[in-house]
Amino acid sequence: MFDNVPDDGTGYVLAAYIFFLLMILIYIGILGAKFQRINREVGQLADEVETGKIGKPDKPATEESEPVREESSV
Amino acid sequence: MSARGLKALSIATVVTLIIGFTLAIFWAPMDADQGFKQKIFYLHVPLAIVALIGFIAGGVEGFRHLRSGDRRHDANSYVFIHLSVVFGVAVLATGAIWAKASWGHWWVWEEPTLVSFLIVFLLYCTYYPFRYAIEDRDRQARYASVFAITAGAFVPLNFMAVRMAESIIHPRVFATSEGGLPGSMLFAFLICLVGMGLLWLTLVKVELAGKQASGQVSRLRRSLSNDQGGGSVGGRIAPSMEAS
Repeated sequence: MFDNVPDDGTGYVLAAYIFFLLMILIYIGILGAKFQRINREVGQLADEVETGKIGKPDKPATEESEPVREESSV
Repeated sequence: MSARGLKALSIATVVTLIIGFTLAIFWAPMDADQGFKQKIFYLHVPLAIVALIGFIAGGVEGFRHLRSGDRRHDANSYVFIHLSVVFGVAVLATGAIWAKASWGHWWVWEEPTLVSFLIVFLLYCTYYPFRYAIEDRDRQARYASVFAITAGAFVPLNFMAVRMAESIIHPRVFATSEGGLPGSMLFAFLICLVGMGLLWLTLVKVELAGKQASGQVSRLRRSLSNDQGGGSVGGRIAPSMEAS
């Protein structure tokens, strides 16, 4: 496969840079899929709250129930 | 970081990398010894430097976590190490390509620089199974921090040991007796290094934003389940950005 690469190393240089580019693109794709999943989960939660599946307790919330706190940013 | 800040950082990363690689390939002079194949240097070396600094930064964050108990430092440490392992894969791959082009072999076991980086990389690969083997989240975070500190301290020691080694075929380009890189090569290299650092930082920010969002969703789901009288929704073993 690498027998046809020119002697000056152009093919190797190209291979290294293309590998790097592909790797970053794949990684960004994985991150994008992760964010899509989070987005889907948020949508599901919103749907469940709106349709009353969760968030409407049968009995009033007790004092032990933890309020939802705001997440601190990094 | 806000979405706007992340967008600016992403643009800066892409622009810097494009400028750096363009300078490296079209402007920096051709290496007298290696010729065009030396251009891999502008990709391979910044990747290696950023990965190694990332490992050390992971140890620093682990130390901060142990000192403060703040879960955010543990998440930072995890993400720093994770990104550096990803960069490490690229270092090994581009290094192997360069080795094949220069020496005619994909890997040379007699070369300390290569083997030492492989050892560091494999050491950090054990971070994941080590971390995920512990289910208790507090204990997991503490043990992972201890690992990050120990391994992070090993990185510069390993680097120094290799620099002092006598058997060298891997090129030494900085602080050599011949004076190191010429100015134009050094300039192009530094731009590539800055671009690679920005890339690492951008990916860290995106990863952390994902962890933060994921943690918020989990906490919200748990809070809603608790309101309804439900139990736990199950533990997570990966670090999240939830408040401790």
